[in-house]
Amino acid sequence: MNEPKPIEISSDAEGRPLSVNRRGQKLRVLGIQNEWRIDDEWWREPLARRYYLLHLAGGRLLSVFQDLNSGAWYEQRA
Amino acid sequence: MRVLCVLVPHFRVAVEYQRRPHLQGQPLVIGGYPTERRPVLDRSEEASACGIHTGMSLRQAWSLCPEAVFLPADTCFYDQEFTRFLSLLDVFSPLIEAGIPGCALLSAGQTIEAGRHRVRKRSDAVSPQSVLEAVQDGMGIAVTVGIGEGRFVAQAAARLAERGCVRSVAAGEEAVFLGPLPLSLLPCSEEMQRRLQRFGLRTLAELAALPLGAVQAQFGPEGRRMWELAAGHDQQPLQPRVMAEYLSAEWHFEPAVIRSELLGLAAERRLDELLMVLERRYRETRRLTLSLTLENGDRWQRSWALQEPTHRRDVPLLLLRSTLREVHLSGPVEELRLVLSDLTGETGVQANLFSIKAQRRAGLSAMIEALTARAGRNPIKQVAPLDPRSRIPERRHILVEYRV
Repeated sequence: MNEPKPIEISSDAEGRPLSVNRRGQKLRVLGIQNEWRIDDEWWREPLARRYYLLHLAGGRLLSVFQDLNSGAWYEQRA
Repeated sequence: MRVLCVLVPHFRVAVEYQRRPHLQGQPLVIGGYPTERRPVLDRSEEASACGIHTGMSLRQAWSLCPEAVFLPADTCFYDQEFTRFLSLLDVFSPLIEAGIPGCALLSAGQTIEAGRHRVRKRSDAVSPQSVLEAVQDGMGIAVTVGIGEGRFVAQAAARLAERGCVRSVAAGEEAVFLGPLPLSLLPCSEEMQRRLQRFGLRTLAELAALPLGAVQAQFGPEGRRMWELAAGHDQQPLQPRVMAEYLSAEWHFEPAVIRSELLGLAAERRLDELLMVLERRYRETRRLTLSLTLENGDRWQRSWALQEPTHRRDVPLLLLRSTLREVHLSGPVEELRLVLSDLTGETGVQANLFSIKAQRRAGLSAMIEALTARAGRNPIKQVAPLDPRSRIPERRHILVEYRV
């Protein structure tokens, strides 16, 4: 439940999201409300994620994370 | 305002004499049997001559007149006869005030002012003689009619009139008419009567002669009202009776039956018919009355005031079934009558948030069974906690198969 969903994100040189391509619509990121990292399950398959709570154009808040192992971006309610 | 009072003295006794003519001439007491702890409801003149009066205990009445005939009060029969009595007066006036059983007040003039409503009626004044003859012919019992300014004067005139006669008190003659009459005629409490007598007052003239301020200071608002009546100042308007809306249905048993199962089936059938009519009219009922007429002439009646207005059968049916299962009748039943009264418009019901939970669960369980049978598996899932404190969001909750 609440499985991560792949999402297309363009980021800057530091890896911060600049825009989100969601359901065929490109939305600009107006600001980052919150940012945090989790590192877990080191005894199994190490899990490393950097989460961002994004404020998108249009007023919507979206929670995304970047899998630091694969570099892929995902959308997930945090 | 000229008021006409139609009075049947000892109404219950009069209608019992009509129903049981063989009791004529015997001292009759209505209210129950001498062994019961109940008061005398009414008595015949022969019983009054023995010292029996309304309100005394039945045992005391029996000790005063052991040869008297004691009858239980057949309330539904008296109500039925009183309704018939009032219906005979409907042709004379649209505004009739129903008093105690056997007494009715109606306006005798052309201009009618009743309660908060002012009704101007362009019609001839009511003829007291016509009223007397209509009621006597319709009921078959002797009545008296009194007419005067105000309700109290009219009622006093009716009480003093001879049977089958009209007594009229001319306008302006109220004080003269009322003067010599006893204080017992006043519609006041027994305590007020005792207090007035302790002051040495015996007649209405003696009370009316006192200053109003002194009477009110001593006896309060009730005393003021009694003084006004004694002086012939009665401005209280008539309170017209409200024709109650009701639905009724009967079932006649041929031959008469005694088994409660048959009574229950008949009651259920008639209840369904009445509820169908009720639903079509978008109405609900708040009172259910069941009346049984026995083969021996006795009647049995039970009435229920429902907690909430309803047009459904569950609560009324439960009441009928449980009562008919336990009722003890003195004979077979030849007629069953069901009345739905105190009708009202459809109402909404404030549901209890917690009490419907069990009902919802039962409905949901039935639906899940049906879906499982159709799909081969339960398609309904529910969210269950797995590791609520986990930092990884997808590990916090899980979807599992829903079970009631």
